[in-house]
Amino acid sequence: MNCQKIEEHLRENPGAPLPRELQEHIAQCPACSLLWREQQALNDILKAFPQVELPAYLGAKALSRLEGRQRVSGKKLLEPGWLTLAAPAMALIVAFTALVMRYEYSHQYADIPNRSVSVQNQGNNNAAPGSVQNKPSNILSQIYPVWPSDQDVVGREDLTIMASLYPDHPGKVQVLLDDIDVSAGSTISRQHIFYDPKSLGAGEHMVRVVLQQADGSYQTASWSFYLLEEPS
Amino acid sequence: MPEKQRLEFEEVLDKYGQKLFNLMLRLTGNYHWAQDLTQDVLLIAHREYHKFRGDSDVFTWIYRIAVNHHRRQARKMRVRSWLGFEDVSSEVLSTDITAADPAESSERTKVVARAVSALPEDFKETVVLHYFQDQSCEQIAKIMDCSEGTVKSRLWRGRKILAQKLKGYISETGV
Repeated sequence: MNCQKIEEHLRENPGAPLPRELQEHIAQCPACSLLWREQQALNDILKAFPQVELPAYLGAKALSRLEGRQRVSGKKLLEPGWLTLAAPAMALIVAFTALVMRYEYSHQYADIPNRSVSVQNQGNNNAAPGSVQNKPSNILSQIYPVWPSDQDVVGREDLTIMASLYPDHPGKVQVLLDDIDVSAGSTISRQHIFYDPKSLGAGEHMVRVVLQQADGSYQTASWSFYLLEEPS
Repeated sequence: MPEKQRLEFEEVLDKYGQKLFNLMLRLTGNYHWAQDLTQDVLLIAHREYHKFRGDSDVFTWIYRIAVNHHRRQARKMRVRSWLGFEDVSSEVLSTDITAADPAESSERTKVVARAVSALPEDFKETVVLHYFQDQSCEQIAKIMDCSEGTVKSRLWRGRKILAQKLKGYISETGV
Protein backbone atom coordinates (compact mmCIF):
# COMPACT_ATOMS: atom_id res chain seq x y z
CA MET A 1 0.00 0.00 0.00
CA ASN A 2 2.75 2.45 0.96
CA CYS A 3 4.60 1.62 -2.27
CA GLN A 4 1.63 3.03 -4.18
CA LYS A 5 1.65 6.11 -1.95
CA ILE A 6 5.28 6.82 -2.82
CA GLU A 7 4.53 6.86 -6.53
CA GLU A 8 1.40 8.88 -5.93
CA HIS A 9 3.38 11.40 -3.91
CA LEU A 10 6.05 11.67 -6.60
CA ARG A 11 3.42 12.17 -9.30
CA GLU A 12 1.26 14.64 -7.40
CA ASN A 13 3.99 16.66 -5.70
CA PRO A 14 6.97 16.87 -8.04
CA GLY A 15 10.06 18.00 -6.17
CA ALA A 16 8.35 18.09 -2.77
CA PRO A 17 9.95 16.42 0.29
CA LEU A 18 8.56 13.13 1.57
CA PRO A 19 6.13 13.17 4.51
CA ARG A 20 7.35 11.39 7.64
CA GLU A 21 5.31 8.18 7.13
CA LEU A 22 6.67 7.74 3.62
CA GLN A 23 10.22 8.39 4.81
CA GLU A 24 9.75 5.53 7.24
CA HIS A 25 8.51 3.36 4.41
CA ILE A 26 11.45 3.97 2.08
CA ALA A 27 13.86 3.21 4.92
CA GLN A 28 12.46 -0.33 4.84
CA CYS A 29 11.59 -0.75 1.15
CA PRO A 30 14.57 -1.01 -1.25
CA ALA A 31 12.40 -0.60 -4.39
CA CYS A 32 10.76 2.61 -3.20
CA SER A 33 14.07 3.86 -1.89
CA LEU A 34 15.61 3.38 -5.33
CA LEU A 35 12.66 5.07 -7.05
CA TRP A 36 12.86 8.03 -4.67
CA ARG A 37 16.63 8.44 -5.07
CA GLU A 38 16.37 8.12 -8.87
CA GLN A 39 13.76 10.85 -9.02
CA GLN A 40 15.76 13.09 -6.71
CA ALA A 41 18.86 12.62 -8.87
CA LEU A 42 16.85 13.35 -12.02
CA ASN A 43 15.49 16.53 -10.42
CA ASP A 44 19.04 17.64 -9.64
CA ILE A 45 20.27 16.89 -13.17
CA LEU A 46 17.41 18.78 -14.80
CA LYS A 47 17.50 21.73 -12.43
CA ALA A 48 21.24 22.11 -13.03
CA PHE A 49 20.85 22.32 -16.79
CA PRO A 50 22.59 25.51 -17.97
CA GLN A 51 20.75 28.46 -19.48
CA VAL A 52 21.97 29.91 -22.76
CA GLU A 53 22.61 33.60 -23.31
CA LEU A 54 20.38 35.33 -25.82
CA PRO A 55 22.42 35.93 -28.99
CA ALA A 56 23.30 39.63 -29.08
CA TYR A 57 22.17 40.07 -32.68
CA LEU A 58 18.73 38.51 -32.12
CA GLY A 59 17.22 41.74 -30.81
CA ALA A 60 18.54 43.71 -33.77
CA LYS A 61 17.17 41.14 -36.22
CA ALA A 62 13.76 41.22 -34.54
CA LEU A 63 13.73 45.03 -34.59
CA SER A 64 14.58 45.00 -38.27
CA ARG A 65 11.70 42.63 -38.92
CA LEU A 66 9.40 44.86 -36.89
CA GLU A 67 10.38 47.83 -39.03
CA GLY A 68 9.87 45.80 -42.19
CA ARG A 69 6.41 44.78 -41.11
CA GLN A 70 5.37 48.32 -40.42
CA ARG A 71 5.98 49.13 -44.05
CA VAL A 72 3.38 46.54 -44.99
CA SER A 73 0.56 48.98 -45.16
CA GLY A 74 -2.91 47.52 -44.83
CA LYS A 75 -1.68 43.95 -44.46
CA LYS A 76 -1.72 41.70 -41.47
CA LEU A 77 1.61 41.56 -39.68
CA LEU A 78 1.66 37.91 -38.78
CA GLU A 79 -0.54 35.21 -40.06
CA PRO A 80 -3.45 34.36 -37.78
CA GLY A 81 -3.69 30.87 -36.38
CA TRP A 82 -6.29 29.62 -38.82
CA LEU A 83 -4.20 30.68 -41.77
CA THR A 84 -1.14 28.93 -40.41
CA LEU A 85 -3.16 25.76 -40.32
CA ALA A 86 -5.00 26.38 -43.55
CA ALA A 87 -2.10 25.84 -45.94
CA PRO A 88 -0.88 22.53 -44.53
CA ALA A 89 -4.45 21.36 -43.94
CA MET A 90 -5.36 22.11 -47.54
CA ALA A 91 -2.23 20.34 -48.75
CA LEU A 92 -3.10 17.32 -46.65
CA ILE A 93 -6.66 17.21 -47.96
CA VAL A 94 -5.47 17.53 -51.55
CA ALA A 95 -2.79 14.88 -51.10
CA PHE A 96 -5.20 12.51 -49.35
CA THR A 97 -7.87 12.97 -52.01
CA ALA A 98 -5.24 12.40 -54.68
CA LEU A 99 -4.26 9.12 -53.07
CA VAL A 100 -7.89 8.01 -52.84
CA MET A 101 -8.60 8.98 -56.45
CA ARG A 102 -5.45 7.26 -57.64
CA TYR A 103 -6.54 4.10 -55.84
CA GLU A 104 -9.97 4.32 -57.46
CA TYR A 105 -8.51 4.89 -60.91
CA SER A 106 -6.12 2.01 -60.51
CA HIS A 107 -9.08 -0.28 -59.81
CA GLN A 108 -11.26 1.22 -62.50
CA TYR A 109 -8.64 0.60 -65.15
CA ALA A 110 -6.93 -2.39 -63.62
CA ASP A 111 -8.07 -4.67 -66.44
CA ILE A 112 -6.77 -2.40 -69.20
CA PRO A 113 -3.21 -3.23 -70.26
CA ASN A 114 -0.63 -0.66 -71.36
CA ARG A 115 -2.39 2.41 -70.06
CA SER A 116 -1.30 5.52 -71.81
CA VAL A 117 -0.53 8.67 -69.85
CA SER A 118 -0.15 10.79 -72.93
CA VAL A 119 -1.64 14.21 -72.50
CA GLN A 120 -2.46 14.48 -76.15
CA ASN A 121 -4.86 11.58 -75.85
CA GLN A 122 -6.73 12.86 -72.88
CA GLY A 123 -10.03 14.53 -73.64
CA ASN A 124 -9.25 14.34 -77.31
CA ASN A 125 -11.97 12.98 -79.53
CA ASN A 126 -9.41 12.26 -82.21
CA ALA A 127 -7.41 9.90 -80.04
CA ALA A 128 -5.74 7.14 -81.92
CA PRO A 129 -7.61 3.82 -81.93
CA GLY A 130 -6.47 1.62 -79.12
CA SER A 131 -5.15 4.48 -76.97
CA VAL A 132 -6.57 4.68 -73.49
CA GLN A 133 -7.15 7.64 -71.27
CA ASN A 134 -5.77 7.19 -67.80
CA LYS A 135 -8.58 9.12 -66.14
CA PRO A 136 -11.91 10.63 -67.10
CA SER A 137 -11.41 13.49 -69.49
CA ASN A 138 -13.93 15.75 -67.77
CA ILE A 139 -11.77 16.11 -64.67
CA LEU A 140 -9.39 19.00 -65.21
CA SER A 141 -6.52 19.71 -62.88
CA GLN A 142 -6.89 22.56 -60.43
CA ILE A 143 -4.14 24.65 -58.85
CA TYR A 144 -4.04 24.95 -55.07
CA PRO A 145 -1.57 27.49 -53.69
CA VAL A 146 0.05 25.98 -50.59
CA TRP A 147 2.72 28.45 -49.54
CA PRO A 148 2.77 31.40 -49.13
CA SER A 149 -0.97 31.90 -48.98
CA ASP A 150 -2.55 34.76 -50.86
CA GLN A 151 -1.76 38.11 -49.18
CA ASP A 152 0.61 36.40 -46.78
CA VAL A 153 3.57 38.18 -45.22
CA VAL A 154 6.67 36.02 -45.04
CA GLY A 155 10.24 36.32 -43.94
CA ARG A 156 13.06 35.36 -46.24
CA GLU A 157 13.71 32.21 -44.24
CA ASP A 158 10.18 31.02 -44.97
CA LEU A 159 10.31 31.86 -48.64
CA THR A 160 9.50 28.89 -50.78
CA ILE A 161 6.71 28.83 -53.29
CA MET A 162 4.54 25.75 -53.27
CA ALA A 163 1.36 24.69 -55.00
CA SER A 164 -0.50 21.42 -55.33
CA LEU A 165 -2.19 20.13 -58.47
CA TYR A 166 -5.22 17.94 -58.32
CA PRO A 167 -6.03 15.71 -60.07
CA ASP A 168 -2.51 14.87 -61.24
CA HIS A 169 -1.44 17.10 -64.07
CA PRO A 170 0.86 15.35 -66.53
CA GLY A 171 0.85 18.24 -69.01
CA LYS A 172 2.67 21.50 -69.44
CA VAL A 173 3.07 23.81 -66.46
CA GLN A 174 4.37 27.35 -66.43
CA VAL A 175 5.39 29.14 -63.25
CA LEU A 176 5.73 32.92 -63.29
CA LEU A 177 7.04 35.12 -60.53
CA ASP A 178 6.34 38.80 -61.10
CA ASP A 179 5.57 37.89 -64.73
CA ILE A 180 8.99 36.32 -65.24
CA ASP A 181 8.97 32.70 -66.30
CA VAL A 182 10.76 30.69 -63.59
CA SER A 183 9.56 27.28 -64.76
CA ALA A 184 13.07 26.15 -65.63
CA GLY A 185 14.26 26.71 -62.07
CA SER A 186 11.19 25.11 -60.51
CA THR A 187 10.64 21.56 -59.40
CA ILE A 188 7.45 20.46 -61.09
CA SER A 189 5.85 17.09 -60.57
CA ARG A 190 2.40 15.84 -61.48
CA GLN A 191 1.07 16.85 -58.06
CA HIS A 192 3.31 19.62 -56.82
CA ILE A 193 5.12 22.73 -57.86
CA PHE A 194 8.04 24.03 -55.89
CA TYR A 195 10.16 27.09 -56.50
CA ASP A 196 12.87 28.48 -54.28
CA PRO A 197 13.66 32.09 -55.25
CA LYS A 198 17.35 32.65 -54.74
CA SER A 199 17.30 36.42 -54.82
CA LEU A 200 14.11 38.33 -54.42
CA GLY A 201 13.78 41.88 -53.15
CA ALA A 202 11.59 42.77 -50.22
CA GLY A 203 8.10 43.90 -51.13
CA GLU A 204 5.02 42.58 -52.85
CA HIS A 205 5.33 39.74 -55.35
CA MET A 206 2.92 37.92 -57.57
CA VAL A 207 2.96 34.20 -58.38
CA ARG A 208 1.11 32.88 -61.36
CA VAL A 209 0.79 29.24 -62.38
CA VAL A 210 -0.55 28.29 -65.77
CA LEU A 211 -1.59 24.73 -66.64
CA GLN A 212 -2.26 23.60 -70.14
CA GLN A 213 -5.18 21.25 -69.76
CA ALA A 214 -5.69 18.05 -71.68
CA ASP A 215 -8.57 19.63 -73.62
CA GLY A 216 -6.28 22.44 -74.79
CA SER A 217 -7.67 25.02 -72.41
CA TYR A 218 -5.61 26.89 -69.83
CA GLN A 219 -6.07 26.98 -66.12
CA THR A 220 -4.47 29.89 -64.26
CA ALA A 221 -4.08 30.74 -60.59
CA SER A 222 -2.48 33.89 -59.23
CA TRP A 223 -1.70 34.96 -55.74
CA SER A 224 0.48 37.54 -54.08
CA PHE A 225 2.63 37.70 -50.98
CA TYR A 226 4.76 40.26 -49.24
CA LEU A 227 8.43 39.51 -48.56
CA LEU A 228 9.83 41.15 -45.47
CA GLU A 229 13.12 42.94 -45.50
CA GLU A 230 15.76 41.14 -43.46
CA PRO A 231 18.91 42.59 -42.00
CA SER A 232 21.98 42.18 -44.14
CA MET B 1 9.79 53.32 -36.41
CA PRO B 2 8.79 55.77 -33.66
CA GLU B 3 11.20 55.94 -30.75
CA LYS B 4 8.45 55.07 -28.26
CA GLN B 5 7.67 51.85 -30.08
CA ARG B 6 11.33 50.92 -30.30
CA LEU B 7 11.71 51.40 -26.55
CA GLU B 8 8.62 49.32 -25.88
CA PHE B 9 10.00 46.52 -27.98
CA GLU B 10 13.39 46.68 -26.30
CA GLU B 11 11.62 46.39 -22.96
CA VAL B 12 9.84 43.22 -24.11
CA LEU B 13 13.15 41.90 -25.39
CA ASP B 14 15.00 42.65 -22.14
CA LYS B 15 12.34 41.15 -19.93
CA TYR B 16 11.45 38.03 -21.85
CA GLY B 17 14.05 37.52 -24.56
CA GLN B 18 16.42 35.18 -22.77
CA LYS B 19 13.75 33.06 -21.11
CA LEU B 20 11.89 32.73 -24.40
CA PHE B 21 15.04 31.80 -26.26
CA ASN B 22 15.86 29.07 -23.76
CA LEU B 23 12.32 27.79 -23.93
CA MET B 24 12.45 27.64 -27.72
CA LEU B 25 15.89 26.08 -27.68
CA ARG B 26 14.70 23.20 -25.51
CA LEU B 27 11.44 22.77 -27.43
CA THR B 28 13.01 22.78 -30.88
CA GLY B 29 16.37 21.25 -29.97
CA ASN B 30 17.83 23.49 -32.68
CA TYR B 31 19.83 26.64 -32.01
CA HIS B 32 19.02 28.42 -35.27
CA TRP B 33 15.36 27.54 -35.41
CA ALA B 34 15.02 28.62 -31.77
CA GLN B 35 16.32 32.06 -32.73
CA ASP B 36 13.75 32.43 -35.48
CA LEU B 37 10.87 31.35 -33.27
CA THR B 38 12.03 33.61 -30.44
CA GLN B 39 11.97 36.58 -32.81
CA ASP B 40 8.49 35.61 -33.96
CA VAL B 41 7.18 35.39 -30.41
CA LEU B 42 8.76 38.68 -29.39
CA LEU B 43 7.12 40.38 -32.36
CA ILE B 44 3.75 38.78 -31.65
CA ALA B 45 3.98 39.70 -27.95
CA HIS B 46 4.90 43.27 -28.82
CA ARG B 47 2.10 43.57 -31.34
CA GLU B 48 -0.54 41.94 -29.16
CA TYR B 49 0.46 43.48 -25.85
CA HIS B 50 -2.39 46.00 -25.91
CA LYS B 51 -4.80 43.06 -26.01
CA PHE B 52 -3.36 41.54 -22.85
CA ARG B 53 -6.12 41.89 -20.27
CA GLY B 54 -4.02 41.27 -17.21
CA ASP B 55 -6.13 38.31 -16.07
CA SER B 56 -3.00 36.18 -15.94
CA ASP B 57 0.67 36.74 -15.37
CA VAL B 58 2.45 38.36 -18.34
CA PHE B 59 4.90 35.47 -18.44
CA THR B 60 2.05 32.99 -18.59
CA TRP B 61 0.53 34.92 -21.48
CA ILE B 62 3.81 35.07 -23.40
CA TYR B 63 4.62 31.42 -22.71
CA ARG B 64 1.23 30.47 -24.09
CA ILE B 65 1.98 32.40 -27.28
CA ALA B 66 5.38 30.71 -27.45
CA VAL B 67 4.14 27.15 -26.94
CA ASN B 68 1.33 27.60 -29.46
CA HIS B 69 3.65 29.20 -31.99
CA HIS B 70 6.12 26.34 -31.65
CA ARG B 71 3.35 23.79 -32.14
CA ARG B 72 2.13 25.53 -35.30
CA GLN B 73 5.59 25.87 -36.78
CA ALA B 74 6.53 22.29 -35.94
CA ARG B 75 3.33 21.10 -37.62
CA LYS B 76 4.07 23.21 -40.66
CA MET B 77 7.58 21.77 -40.87
CA ARG B 78 6.24 18.24 -40.71
CA VAL B 79 3.72 18.93 -43.49
CA ARG B 80 6.37 20.50 -45.71
CA SER B 81 8.65 17.59 -45.11
CA TRP B 82 5.83 15.15 -45.78
CA LEU B 83 5.16 16.85 -49.10
CA GLY B 84 8.75 16.11 -49.97
CA PHE B 85 10.10 19.62 -50.31
CA GLU B 86 13.80 19.33 -49.90
CA ASP B 87 14.41 22.72 -48.37
CA VAL B 88 13.04 21.56 -45.04
CA SER B 89 16.12 20.71 -43.09
CA SER B 90 15.97 17.25 -41.62
CA GLU B 91 18.05 18.67 -38.84
CA VAL B 92 15.11 20.80 -37.78
CA LEU B 93 12.76 17.85 -37.66
CA SER B 94 15.13 15.46 -36.03
CA THR B 95 15.86 15.30 -32.36
CA ASP B 96 19.51 16.06 -33.00
CA ILE B 97 20.88 19.11 -31.33
CA THR B 98 23.18 21.28 -33.34
CA ALA B 99 26.70 21.73 -32.19
CA ALA B 100 26.07 25.47 -32.09
CA ASP B 101 24.15 25.14 -28.83
CA PRO B 102 26.51 26.78 -26.33
CA ALA B 103 24.87 25.01 -23.38
CA GLU B 104 26.30 21.75 -24.58
CA SER B 105 29.79 22.21 -23.34
CA SER B 106 29.81 18.78 -21.73
CA GLU B 107 28.79 15.35 -22.85
CA ARG B 108 26.29 15.22 -20.03
CA THR B 109 24.38 18.36 -21.04
CA LYS B 110 24.35 17.10 -24.61
CA VAL B 111 22.81 13.79 -23.56
CA VAL B 112 20.27 15.48 -21.29
CA ALA B 113 19.27 17.91 -24.05
CA ARG B 114 18.82 15.05 -26.50
CA ALA B 115 16.79 13.00 -24.05
CA VAL B 116 14.46 15.93 -23.36
CA SER B 117 14.21 16.82 -27.03
CA ALA B 118 13.19 13.26 -27.90
CA LEU B 119 10.26 13.21 -25.47
CA PRO B 120 6.74 13.18 -26.93
CA GLU B 121 5.67 16.79 -27.57
CA ASP B 122 3.23 17.16 -24.63
CA PHE B 123 5.68 15.66 -22.15
CA LYS B 124 8.52 17.74 -23.52
CA GLU B 125 6.60 21.01 -23.17
CA THR B 126 5.70 20.15 -19.58
CA VAL B 127 9.20 19.05 -18.58
CA VAL B 128 10.83 22.07 -20.22
CA LEU B 129 8.43 24.54 -18.60
CA HIS B 130 8.77 22.93 -15.18
CA TYR B 131 12.48 22.21 -14.95
CA PHE B 132 14.09 24.70 -17.30
CA GLN B 133 11.67 27.58 -16.85
CA ASP B 134 10.72 27.09 -13.19
CA GLN B 135 7.00 27.09 -13.85
CA SER B 136 4.67 25.45 -11.33
CA CYS B 137 2.13 22.83 -12.37
CA GLU B 138 -0.61 25.42 -11.88
CA GLN B 139 1.13 27.90 -14.19
CA ILE B 140 1.83 25.20 -16.78
CA ALA B 141 -1.85 24.23 -16.74
CA LYS B 142 -2.74 27.84 -17.61
CA ILE B 143 -0.09 28.02 -20.33
CA MET B 144 -1.11 24.74 -21.92
CA ASP B 145 -4.81 25.27 -21.30
CA CYS B 146 -5.33 21.95 -19.53
CA SER B 147 -5.98 20.74 -16.01
CA GLU B 148 -3.32 20.63 -13.33
CA GLY B 149 -3.88 16.87 -13.08
CA THR B 150 -3.00 16.50 -16.75
CA VAL B 151 0.19 18.50 -16.21
CA LYS B 152 1.21 16.31 -13.26
CA SER B 153 0.49 13.15 -15.22
CA ARG B 154 2.54 14.35 -18.23
CA LEU B 155 5.36 15.44 -15.97
CA TRP B 156 5.42 12.09 -14.21
CA ARG B 157 5.42 10.11 -17.44
CA GLY B 158 8.08 12.38 -18.90
CA ARG B 159 10.23 11.91 -15.82
CA LYS B 160 9.89 8.15 -15.99
CA ILE B 161 11.09 8.17 -19.60
CA LEU B 162 13.97 10.48 -18.71
CA ALA B 163 14.93 8.34 -15.71
CA GLN B 164 15.33 5.40 -18.08
CA LYS B 165 17.28 7.36 -20.70
CA LEU B 166 19.55 9.05 -18.19
CA LYS B 167 20.12 5.99 -16.03
CA GLY B 168 23.86 6.20 -16.56
CA TYR B 169 24.10 9.74 -15.21
CA ILE B 170 21.67 9.02 -12.41
CA SER B 171 23.77 6.08 -11.24
CA GLU B 172 26.85 8.37 -11.23
CA THR B 173 25.21 10.32 -8.43
CA GLY B 174 25.42 7.24 -6.22
CA VAL B 175 21.89 5.93 -6.77
